[in-house]
Amino acid sequence: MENNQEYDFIIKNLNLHYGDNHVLKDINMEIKHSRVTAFIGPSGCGKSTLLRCLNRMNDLYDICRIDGDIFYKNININEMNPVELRTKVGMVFQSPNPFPMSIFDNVAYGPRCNGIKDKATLKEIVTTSLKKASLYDEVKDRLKDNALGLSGGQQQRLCIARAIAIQPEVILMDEPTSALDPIATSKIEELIDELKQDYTIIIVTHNMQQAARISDYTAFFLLGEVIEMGETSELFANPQNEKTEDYITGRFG
Amino acid sequence: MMNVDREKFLKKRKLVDRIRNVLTYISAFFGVLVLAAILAFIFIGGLPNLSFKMLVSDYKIELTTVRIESDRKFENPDDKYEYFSSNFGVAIEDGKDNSGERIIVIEYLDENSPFKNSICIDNTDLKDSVVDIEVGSSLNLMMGEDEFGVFVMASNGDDLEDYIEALDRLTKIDSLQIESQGGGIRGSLLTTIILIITTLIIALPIGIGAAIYIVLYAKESKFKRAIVSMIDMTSGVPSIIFGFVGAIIFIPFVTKLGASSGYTILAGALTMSIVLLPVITKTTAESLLVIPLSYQMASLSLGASKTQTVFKVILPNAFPGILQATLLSIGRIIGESAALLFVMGSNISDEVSLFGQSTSLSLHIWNITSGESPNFGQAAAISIIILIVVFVMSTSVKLISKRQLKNNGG
Amino acid sequence: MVIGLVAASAIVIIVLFIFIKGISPFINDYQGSGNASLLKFITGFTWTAGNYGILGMLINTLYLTLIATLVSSPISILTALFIVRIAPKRLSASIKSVIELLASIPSIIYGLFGMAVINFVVKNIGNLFNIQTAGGTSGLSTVIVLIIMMIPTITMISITSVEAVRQDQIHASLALGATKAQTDFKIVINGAKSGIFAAIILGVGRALGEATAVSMVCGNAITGPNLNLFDITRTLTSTMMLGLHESSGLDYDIRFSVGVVLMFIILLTSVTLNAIKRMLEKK
Repeated sequence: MENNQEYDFIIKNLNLHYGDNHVLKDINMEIKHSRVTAFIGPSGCGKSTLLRCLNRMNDLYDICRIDGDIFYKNININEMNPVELRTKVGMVFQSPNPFPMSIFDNVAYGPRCNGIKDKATLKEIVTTSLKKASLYDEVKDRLKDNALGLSGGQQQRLCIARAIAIQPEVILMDEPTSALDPIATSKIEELIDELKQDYTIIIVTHNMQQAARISDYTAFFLLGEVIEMGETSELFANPQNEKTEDYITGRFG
Repeated sequence: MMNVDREKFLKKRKLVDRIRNVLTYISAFFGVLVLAAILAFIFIGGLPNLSFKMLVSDYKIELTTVRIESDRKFENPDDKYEYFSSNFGVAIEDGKDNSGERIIVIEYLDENSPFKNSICIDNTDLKDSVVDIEVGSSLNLMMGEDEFGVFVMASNGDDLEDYIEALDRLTKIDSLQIESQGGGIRGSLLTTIILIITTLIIALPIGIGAAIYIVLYAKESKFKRAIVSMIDMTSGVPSIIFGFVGAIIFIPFVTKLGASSGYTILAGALTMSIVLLPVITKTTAESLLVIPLSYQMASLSLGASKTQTVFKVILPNAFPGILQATLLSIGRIIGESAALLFVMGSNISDEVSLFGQSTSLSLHIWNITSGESPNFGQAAAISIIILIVVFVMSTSVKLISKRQLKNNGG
Repeated sequence: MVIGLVAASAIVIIVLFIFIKGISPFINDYQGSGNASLLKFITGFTWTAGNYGILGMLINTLYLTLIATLVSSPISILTALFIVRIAPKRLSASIKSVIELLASIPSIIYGLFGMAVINFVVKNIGNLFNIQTAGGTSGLSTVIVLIIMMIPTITMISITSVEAVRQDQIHASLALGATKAQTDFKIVINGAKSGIFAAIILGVGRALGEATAVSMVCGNAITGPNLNLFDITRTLTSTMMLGLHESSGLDYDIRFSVGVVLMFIILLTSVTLNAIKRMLEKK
């Protein structure tokens, strides 16, 4: 772990309880820089919970107890200011959740909260972010319109643009396409493919094909444990664990 | 991102965030401060004036004028009393009437005191009869002539010392005013109780009936929606407007019924019924809505008619809602002032009847504070009663709905 | 069916009755005092027996309500935010109970408190700045009484709308590196603004129609408008409440005309504010 630029996150012996529920059990994992890592597994297996540990969103729940360590770029995240951490580790949620304000203000929200006031700078950031999220061409004439007027897929790309605008190094995506139709989904997948050049992406997905299509590494979760983790092509072609094989061949889940 | 500017910004943001949080603390504290100030004022100002005697005595002072003759001397027992008249065998002390004014009251009366044989000289039925004077009676204007024929006079504006000195110069009091203690709220208290009971008798059946109709009988229609929105609308109408309604509709109505004045408790009760109908209907309707449809079905399937079902199954289950409506109404009636002013007036009366004019506790406060020298002490004392009733009512309503929520949840 | 019809027609009848009674002072001849002039009523600045002008007190009413709204709204919104988002659980519950108790206090007690305590405070503030007040009875006292009466109304409804702000919006904001306070002030208030606006509209309606407490502290000036807060003032409702001796005659009936104006103003304000609300929501 020392002097390890290769990994953005190193997770060591992580256990998480929600009240009496043991949700995550002894998780150990490394997440590679500038790669797409996918978390797969049946619902309730703890994959989204682990994702929320990475930017300390679980802090918001009083009944949540976390033991073990997570290191972000060799710094224990519990020693970091969570607000600082979240400017480096952005997040996109399951269903699109733009703020009820204009498209421009949505994207500018993060930078503004982090002290950028200059109008030209903001405009620059908003434009770049929207371009990166391949949304700019669709909305460039109506940046002042309310974001809730966009379609579901556009809203989710706006949420991605919003996350990009704070210039994070990692983007966490919690089943970003589960609320979208197939066309919108494929657009988001294309987008992830482009984004991975600049960002480390961790994506939770229900959809094994999606994981196979877009990720470099895949971790398979079951009942709060990581059953298997490895290069995606390897894991899908040649699963080491029986349960993994059962899951990816569709025998359960 | 980590550079000097960023450090500066983080510091500034921390400060701004703290200011924001402090602002919310201050705002919330403001409410606490207001409540504390009101309670402190009401209780500190009112408690010394609140007494059982105030609750049961009349507002108007009754004056009896008497003459008294003495033919002997009396002993101050053990020299116990500071202000003792040896001519009449009576000791006096400072007192306070129910509204907090200073008065002179009898502290001690010898058993042979001529005060016990005082003769009424008022031109009333009581003329020439013996007036019962007791310890606690209050004395006011006293006039007579001493043995040298000098005119002597004293009143409750004088010091005790001057008063007793005047008393001892006389052997014969030509005229002495004995006052009953005024300033009580018996009439207003009784009025409030009658007002509450009458209002509930009128408003509850209509309100509950309307709720049953809306929930169980009315079909989903524009008409039903119109009623519901009308009920919502009336809850936003200021109560003074309801006072106007009462003045226009109910005052002529009770006058037709034979009341001598339009200002009556009955007109007040009718007006309050209008004020409360939306509240009662809404609260009852809400409690009807949570009764499972299966209860109704079960009863109907057992051969009960719809009316039987309503009275035997629905209403008992709606009881908590009806109770809440009743408690809310009581709190509202005891506190209402603007609407009632137009139908009950503000003249405090000790003779209370449904068809007569008298004031509720709130109007009593309005009366005693609207003159030249407002009596804040007694107003605060009455406010204690009102506040306690209102707080108990609203807390009970809250507790009932909490229990309901628990029952439904578990 | 019958009950429903009665309920529905009751309001129509009520409005009609008040309206008829309200215009009668301008039409009927009152023995000894003739009738009132409608023109004078609408444009006059003075209110004495036989001389009824309403414009001055109308301006007073709107002016005092406006100031009270500007002060009470932010306090109420911040209190609601404090209760729902910021205070620790137990403190939050106690503050909420305090607000509920404040909401249940009848206006006669607010009026009494205003007369005895607020007037006294205002008098001393006046003395501090060398301003003579009529024993503290003033527009300022009226505004303060209105403020403390509006706060529970606005806060209670704001609490509901702040609670209704969606969790995923809050999470999105936090995930973007906003601090909790930034989230509370930008996302939560923004998300609850429609409900908060509705709360303020209700509060304004209450303030315009508040009669007892206002009458006890305003001083009922003869002429208006009066924009100096340390001077005595007069509102529509105080005119209706005060000096009520007779229950017939011109001086009594003209109060109903004031009542008609009051209802009209409340309706107009509510319609206007709702239109503004819709405009803001579209944005």
